[in-house]
Amino acid sequence: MPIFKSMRFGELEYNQEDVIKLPEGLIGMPGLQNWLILEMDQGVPLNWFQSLDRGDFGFPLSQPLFYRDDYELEVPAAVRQNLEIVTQEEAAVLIITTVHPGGKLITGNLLAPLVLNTRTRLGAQLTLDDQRYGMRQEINYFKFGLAVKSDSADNEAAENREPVPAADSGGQIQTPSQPEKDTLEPANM
Amino acid sequence: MLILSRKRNEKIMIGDDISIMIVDIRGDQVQVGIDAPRSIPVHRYEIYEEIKSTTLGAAASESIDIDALHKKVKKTDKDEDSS
Repeated sequence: MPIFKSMRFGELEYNQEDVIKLPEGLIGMPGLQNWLILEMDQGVPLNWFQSLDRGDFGFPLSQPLFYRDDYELEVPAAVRQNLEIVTQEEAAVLIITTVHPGGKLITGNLLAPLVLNTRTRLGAQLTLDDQRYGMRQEINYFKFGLAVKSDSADNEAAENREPVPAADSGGQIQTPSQPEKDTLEPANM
Repeated sequence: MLILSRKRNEKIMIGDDISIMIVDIRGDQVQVGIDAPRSIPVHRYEIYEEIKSTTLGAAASESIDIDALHKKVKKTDKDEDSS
């Protein structure tokens, strides 16, 4: 299995078939095409989207329902074709999420979500033209907090607040052999 | 930078697939029509830059303060009970 060195999580062993491919990269970053979705520890209902093209680049992803119940978008036909989306069920929409300094403010970019085909593992970042949505929409802490798994929620003494990939999380990723938490921060660009 | 002068309804071709037309000119505002293949994303520059900078901000995310999150949840809970 290939091993990738990520700055936040150290070495990650992953399956090639778990790689998510964004053929056009992200908006403004067309070279970042290969990604992994990692689970967070502490039962936090976020995923970490880790670039396999740049070990120092990744960000949290969250579910649209943490921001609003009525979030809806239309995936343009050209994108559906590129991602080989056949049925609505295989299309997943995820929100690029920022945990601001201090860890108390969480916002999501509802105007430029990721859409992934869960079957083909192809994805793209969309831009929506919708007045209802913002690029820095604050998460609904009540809904988000309820989704935090209770066993970790009760664990007030938890020391490690860094997200790490979960072992055996739906076969997505193995536990890193040598996590290097807190040693390096992502490059500030 | 290549600079071209165009009048209303005149066009510019970029390659074989992309055409840009000056649709209307009113004062300091110009309406531009863009014909491009659907595979080529077209953005207003400011939006493009803001999306990019939002993504870079997300990449600098810190860890969630779980305790603060729980306090917020409790507070919201109380607010909803009292209303």
